[in-house]
Amino acid sequence: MKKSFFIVLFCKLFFLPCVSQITRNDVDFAFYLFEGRKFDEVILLFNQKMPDLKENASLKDSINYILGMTHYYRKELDKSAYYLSKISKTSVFYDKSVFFTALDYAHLSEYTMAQTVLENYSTTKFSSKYDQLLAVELAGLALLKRDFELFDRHAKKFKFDQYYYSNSQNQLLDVRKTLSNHRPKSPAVAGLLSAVVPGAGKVYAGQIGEGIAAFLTVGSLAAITAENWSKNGLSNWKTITFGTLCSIFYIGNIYGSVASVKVYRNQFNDKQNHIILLSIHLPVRALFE
Amino acid sequence: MPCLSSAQEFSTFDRADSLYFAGDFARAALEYERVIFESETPDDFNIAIFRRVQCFKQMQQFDKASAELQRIRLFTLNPDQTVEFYYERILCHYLNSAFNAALGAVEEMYFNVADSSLCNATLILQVLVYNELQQWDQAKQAALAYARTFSSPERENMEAAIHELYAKKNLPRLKKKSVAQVLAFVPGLAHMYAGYWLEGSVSLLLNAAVLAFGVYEVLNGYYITGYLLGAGTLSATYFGGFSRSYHLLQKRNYERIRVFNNQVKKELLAP
Repeated sequence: MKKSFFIVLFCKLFFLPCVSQITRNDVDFAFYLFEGRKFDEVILLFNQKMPDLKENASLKDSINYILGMTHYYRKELDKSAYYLSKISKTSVFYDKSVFFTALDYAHLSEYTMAQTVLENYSTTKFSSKYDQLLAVELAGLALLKRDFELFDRHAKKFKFDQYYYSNSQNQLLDVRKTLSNHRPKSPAVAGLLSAVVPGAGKVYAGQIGEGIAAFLTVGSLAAITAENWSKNGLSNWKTITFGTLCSIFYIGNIYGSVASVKVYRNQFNDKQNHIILLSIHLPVRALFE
Repeated sequence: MPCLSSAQEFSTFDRADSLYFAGDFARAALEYERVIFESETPDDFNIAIFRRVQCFKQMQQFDKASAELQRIRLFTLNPDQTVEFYYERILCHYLNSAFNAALGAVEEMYFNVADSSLCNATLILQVLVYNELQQWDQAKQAALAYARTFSSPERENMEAAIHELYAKKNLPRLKKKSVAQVLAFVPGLAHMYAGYWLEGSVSLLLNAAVLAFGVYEVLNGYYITGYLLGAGTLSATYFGGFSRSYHLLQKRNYERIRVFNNQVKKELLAP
């Protein structure tokens, strides 16, 4: 919420004070720059010349569309969402802008905002043309929120009969299955395993290489400590030094194993979210570009 | 602004030109693009692109400048303008450190320009490009061709200087990777071969110390300590020395080429 406020403030401060006359020719030039993928120059153009937005609604929509899509391609998704969400329902860019706004919010992890945008759109008369796309997007967003009940409701509308969506629909169903079958790994078990056999907790967390490295390090230090203990006794400086080092690595390895499970959880969630985002992104790009 | 001189009136360029001369190169480039957007003749189109190239060069965006030149409609240029186009292209690639692309542009220029004497304007750039690619013979030939564009006695002086510069004894002596790879089996020797004597000595002493520690421990009956600590540490320092020595070799060769190329630049570009 705070972030959105600052984006709006930024846009108003930088663009609106530069109010001057703008012509259809300027907008055509902006389209020309945009189609030539000269995104830096699109921004520069509107930075120096911004219309009085109250004057002409069609011009205003065109400019918001160009700026929104330009920021989208520059991966400035917050600004992209800001401009695209301002396009009026009468504009030819309206349908496209709705889906791209939702995508922007989804990538910004603002899933509820994305859902709201699409749900508002689904109540309009324009939405019937894109009912399958809407179902994919809303199902994907439900999955991102791990709301399986809502996902199932939207997934019931999948028809698998159109090239644009069928792949994404299948992928979303696969992710749904993976997420519901997934049994999260326990940090406590990882710690316990590493306490018994150094490195075993990391192997349990899926990091086999790190587990072997931890086993060799702690094992080597333990062997050196044992050798010095047996030959020089417990109070010898070498025994104390290597024993201390071994203890530090042993405890560190247990702590590392617990952390590894948390990293594993994040990696698993990130991977699934990535697949979901891709599944809701590709049909929109394929359909509108 | 060195680009495509012409007797035409450039009233549409006025705004862009004024921004360029005011040092606002980003906006000037934008306005030149507007000229391209509105252009009705190929001449306006080409001139605006040339000027955009100047803007990008001023902003040190040489990759963009190179990309911009790809838009030029080559078939509309006369031979002088064609050479000017290739001059810019070679220069932008050179400034962008894309030396092979610059060489490609040189070859393309000789293929596309019927009167090769017109290409003399690019000879200095050719020398610089060949030098960067360590093609000393071609660099020398281009430098001599450049000298021949001057009249006596300046030409003779220049030719003598070029022969001296490109004499075998003066060419940068580059260290061989194959030699360094063999020497690297003795820790520190490859570092010394690359000219880094102090670092080589430290590497030699460090490896010797670790090896001595391991052997000492084993001789005293501490087999585990000797093997794990001695050999373990030695493997890290020994094999680490291989990659380090290769890096130093490349660094030294780069420095030597740099010194030589700077000397050539100084000689050719001297007033």
